[in-house]
Amino acid sequence: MRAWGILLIIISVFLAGCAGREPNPVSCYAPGDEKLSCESLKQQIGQLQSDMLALLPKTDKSFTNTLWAVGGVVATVPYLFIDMKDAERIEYEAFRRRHNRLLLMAGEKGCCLEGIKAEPIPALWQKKSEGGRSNGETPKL
Amino acid sequence: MKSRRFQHFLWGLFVLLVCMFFAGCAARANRMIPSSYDLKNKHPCTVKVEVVGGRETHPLWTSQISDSAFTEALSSAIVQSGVFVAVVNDEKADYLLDVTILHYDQPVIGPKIGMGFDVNMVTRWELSKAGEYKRVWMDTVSTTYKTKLGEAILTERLQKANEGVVRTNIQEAIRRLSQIQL
Repeated sequence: MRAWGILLIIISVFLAGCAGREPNPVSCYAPGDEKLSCESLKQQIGQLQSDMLALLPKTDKSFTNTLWAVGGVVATVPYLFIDMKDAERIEYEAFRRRHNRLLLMAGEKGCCLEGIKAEPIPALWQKKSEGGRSNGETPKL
Repeated sequence: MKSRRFQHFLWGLFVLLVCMFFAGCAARANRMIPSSYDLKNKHPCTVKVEVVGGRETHPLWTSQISDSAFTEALSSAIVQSGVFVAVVNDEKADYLLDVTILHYDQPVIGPKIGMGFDVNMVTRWELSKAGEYKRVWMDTVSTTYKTKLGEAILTERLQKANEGVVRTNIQEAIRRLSQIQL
């Protein structure tokens, strides 16, 4: 029984770094960005906004990670479920950076962005320092 | 009765050791600034720096590298090296430097049991001229930092390794940045 316990701890420690998936952040610019028409810019900005909206609820894992970490102190195995790779948050931030850059580009070209939110999106840490969103509220960019 | 108390004491000690094993402090920006630079050109322009891909340190987990610490270290390194004249925080900068941390190692076993180990970091660097929205330079910088045996103890070793790998990464990126003609 004791041997099994020790084996479990050893395996847990070895696998601890495997939790979560690797992030795949988008690049700030894509080839040909400077030649994009207003219509294409609007389309891309809208697409980035919906991608970010889909990722937003998954960006804050501090609560679940704390639970797993506290559980891990008692039983070790929950440590395996801690997601420290933060893939969603990193991808969100990369989308945000590209979004803000395309928005600037559209502004300088004098494009009409009616129908989409044409405001730069602050970084997640900036949002947190501004107070964040209250419970039950629909996620906003 | 006595042995039961002793069992409780052992259990408490085990919990404490597990906490100590995993807990970590965030890598410090001032320790990520390289001490020397190998420059070919100095660019008489201003730059705005933005970093994504870092992670905040969770008190119950290992030391991490945050976006803000990387940005702070990089901004100081740019100014100290003189590769760009100044780092500014608005869009009025001449160039925009975007850094994405693509990957960095987080070894768990090596740092804890005192072995020497390697930490790798891969970052993507993109430089664009403000207002033109066209990349003028892009490179992927991959660096390794080797920790020495007995460099530090327990949680501090990973923290030092993280600081070291960022330092070498920034140093290499600045060297490459100085080689381009703007």
